[in-house]
Amino acid sequence: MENQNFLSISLALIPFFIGVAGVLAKISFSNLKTLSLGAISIVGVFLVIFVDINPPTNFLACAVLIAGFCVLISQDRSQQTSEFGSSSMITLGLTLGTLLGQGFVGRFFLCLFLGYAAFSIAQEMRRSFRKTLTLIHFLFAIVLSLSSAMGSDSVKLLSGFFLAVTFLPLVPFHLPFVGMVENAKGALSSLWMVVWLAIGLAELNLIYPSLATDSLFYVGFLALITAFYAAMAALGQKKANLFIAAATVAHVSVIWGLLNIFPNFPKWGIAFGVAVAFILGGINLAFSFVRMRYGWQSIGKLPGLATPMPRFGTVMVLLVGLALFLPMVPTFTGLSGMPTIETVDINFIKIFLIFLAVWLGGGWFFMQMLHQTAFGETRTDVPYSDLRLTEFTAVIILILGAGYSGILY
Amino acid sequence: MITPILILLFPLLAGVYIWLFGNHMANVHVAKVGVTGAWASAFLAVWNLYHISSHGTVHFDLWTLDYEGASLFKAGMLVDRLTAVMMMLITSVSVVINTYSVRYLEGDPGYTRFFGLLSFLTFVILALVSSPNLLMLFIFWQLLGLALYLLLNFNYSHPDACRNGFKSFFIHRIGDVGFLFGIFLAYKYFGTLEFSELFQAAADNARTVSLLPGNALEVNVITLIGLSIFVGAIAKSSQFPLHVWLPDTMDSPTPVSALMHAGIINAGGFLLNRLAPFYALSPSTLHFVFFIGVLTVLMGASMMLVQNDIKKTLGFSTVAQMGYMIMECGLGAFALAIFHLIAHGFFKASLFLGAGTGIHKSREEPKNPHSHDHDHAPKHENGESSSQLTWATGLGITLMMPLIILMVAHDILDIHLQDAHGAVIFLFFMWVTASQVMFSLYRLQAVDSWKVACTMIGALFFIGFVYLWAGEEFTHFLYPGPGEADGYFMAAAFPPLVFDIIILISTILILFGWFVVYTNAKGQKVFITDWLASIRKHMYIILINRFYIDRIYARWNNNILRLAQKVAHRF
Repeated sequence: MENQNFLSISLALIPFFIGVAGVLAKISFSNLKTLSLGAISIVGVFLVIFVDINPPTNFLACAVLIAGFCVLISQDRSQQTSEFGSSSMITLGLTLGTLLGQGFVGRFFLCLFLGYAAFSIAQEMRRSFRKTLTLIHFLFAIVLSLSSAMGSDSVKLLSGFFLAVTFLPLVPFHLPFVGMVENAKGALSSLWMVVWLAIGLAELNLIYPSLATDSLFYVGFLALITAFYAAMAALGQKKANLFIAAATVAHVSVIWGLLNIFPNFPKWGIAFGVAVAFILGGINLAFSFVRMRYGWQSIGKLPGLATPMPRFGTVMVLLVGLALFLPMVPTFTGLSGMPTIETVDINFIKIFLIFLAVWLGGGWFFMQMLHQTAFGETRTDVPYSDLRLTEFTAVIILILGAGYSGILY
Repeated sequence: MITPILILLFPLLAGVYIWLFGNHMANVHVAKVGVTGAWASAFLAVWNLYHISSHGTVHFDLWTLDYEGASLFKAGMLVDRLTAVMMMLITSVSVVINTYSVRYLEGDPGYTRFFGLLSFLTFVILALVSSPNLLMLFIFWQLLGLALYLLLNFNYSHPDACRNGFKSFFIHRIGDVGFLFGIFLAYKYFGTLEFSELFQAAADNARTVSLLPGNALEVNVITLIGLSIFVGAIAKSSQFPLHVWLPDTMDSPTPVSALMHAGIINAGGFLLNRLAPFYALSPSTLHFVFFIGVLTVLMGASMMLVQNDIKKTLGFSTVAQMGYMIMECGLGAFALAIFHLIAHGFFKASLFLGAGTGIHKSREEPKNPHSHDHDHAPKHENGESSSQLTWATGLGITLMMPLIILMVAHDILDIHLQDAHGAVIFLFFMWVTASQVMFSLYRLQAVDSWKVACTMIGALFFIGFVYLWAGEEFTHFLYPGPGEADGYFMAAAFPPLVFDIIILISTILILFGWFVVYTNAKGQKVFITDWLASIRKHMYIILINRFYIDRIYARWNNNILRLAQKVAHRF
């Protein structure tokens, strides 16, 4: 057991140290990319073959590694800075440490992760009341994560719950997540999304057995509000990153809403959460490629991309196609474990409404986004260039990962 | 087992091949792949129909998802007579459309994409009709919506096509919520989604649930599930109030319209047929289905009358026809709905393809269309007045119909009228159809008395024969179980008062129709003419605005978007 714990932490430290070395030694992005991809592959192989941890955690760690791999492989060696590579690897290392670390070690990594995220936000975000609120939220989360390692069971549960609603964001705890997705640079935003949700799923998995039915009932209401609010926000959002953040929050609310309908959260919840992370992360990654080329930020400003960028069109159609089916994933997997006893209560109506908001909202905002980016008249004043093969491959890997997680896992 | 798999596999392989290699192939080869896939599938579907008819249902599982000893999801195929008939319809329509598109889309930049999508869509519909359980059916139901969306957006730089594609997709999505909720409830209360097991469990465990706390608002579970799933059928088959998507999808290429009106739109009718044993357990659901069907027939047909665009006219005609089909299901005449679906599929596909050719020719020839529009009925060329013989034949035959109906029902079909209101109402619709044929024949050519009279009598026999054949042979072919089809009719029986009212209204409408046509033809002024004219004007305005339903939806849409922008600002 001791050896396993040590091995897990060592694996987490590999990407972390590569990231730190990248910052300190000013390694070129080209070299850093080669090193990082090699390290991710080795860590992945070790994780699958040699590390004996519970399957959900292992699955989440693999999902994080895949996301890191896709983000790095998609970057052009000549156009990206070493800062990008370092940042990716540090984030990966801290996330792996949080997921794989047991007890205090895991919490310590979580504090570092939160601190690193807060530092990034403090640097990128403009001074505003929202920024202050977000940083206070981070501070609170750090304190609670430390107290959860040392406090009593009730403190552990309370802080675990706070961390879970922060990482699997429910309104009004969504500010750090939205801040990270909005302010992270380029493709890093996509990586942050996946790692954020992975930590949230791990946290929920930890506290899920201790959550009382009463508290789940109230959480369900919060999920209902979140579903409607986030779906509306996604519908009205023009900024690409914020659109993705809102769409993610809307989908995450399904997990919370279904908690007291379907038993066995690790089975359906983690599969669904990872599928959401991969699909929405994939859309984010695809958008980052467009943003890198044309400085594009607002949905609707650059329509008709499917004609000059057929690869982009293909991945967008695939991503949106899968995103539209996402709410089916928990239903599909959850049904398998659902007791068929006769219970009719308000939870049913509640989950129906959540589903309605996410299903219809998703149908509306994803399609609207597809129309405003891939379809429509092509502009004549833009020098279009299609996705490179590596970029295309990276998104396809995420799509396959989502398919595996949602259907087969 | 191999044949049904191959029927699905051919279009799928054609689609995949076109998708992978289509861009490196000449258009003619792309078309050949698509057409070959469709033909191969169609040939096998014919053989399959023969085989299933003589050897019985084929049901097998290809892959089972086991979870803790229980298998929730089984990917497999259920090929019974209903599926075999549907497979033949789908593959035949696919062959026609594939072949037609070879020339029609020549020179279009999306030629390859179109054939790829067409093959994929054919595969999806085939998989849908052969699904052995609700979950698999729903998955292909979803894929059908997505594939349809991509086809409607075929010309994706055309803003109207994109807007209407989106509208269609979103309305289907609304229906899918209900469908999925129905699946959810079905599993919760009956513990299975496999069709045969579900029907058995539902028949054995009829129960009620309370929708509100304190046992308030108790409903039958089967009714609740049936209505939820029916919402899906409402959306897919363009029924009121989700009918608004269909008439606006005319910006897509004509083959797409043909495929949609001949194939995709039938999914709702198929769904109700597949679940017929389940629906038969809930008479109130069947009555609701009937009500929605009637409403759609009336709305679709009346809106069709005021259209001045040939494709839109056909679109509204489809809405009405689908309403008719759903109404048939509501009357317990499930097999007849399938018969109607097949007849309508071929008839509408040929009309659309014909309209497409006409439009093409009109574009090539500036003088087309000639002096009159399509909606102007042919005039009597020499101004001759209509003959008494024609009138007498038409009127006599039409009025004789109720007698013939009762005779057919009693002596040939052996239907007990007091128990099977659905059957009687359906036979009354036969009367309506026959009367409509008389009206049309008279309007087209009312001068050549003997010919018209003979045509009328011939038409009557034809309609009678077809209804009889469909009512008797086809019903027992599709539902061969002893008493199965009769059970559906029985389940759909109405309360006596409602039944009497429906019969009375049908009779009055037909007699009134004859009266109006007759007086108009004779140039006689009826004492209510002015009043009627004023109603007609108002009705025209309402109908041309489609009962303002689209406008109400558009206003909701704008309000939601405005609210969404405010919410997004604060998110």
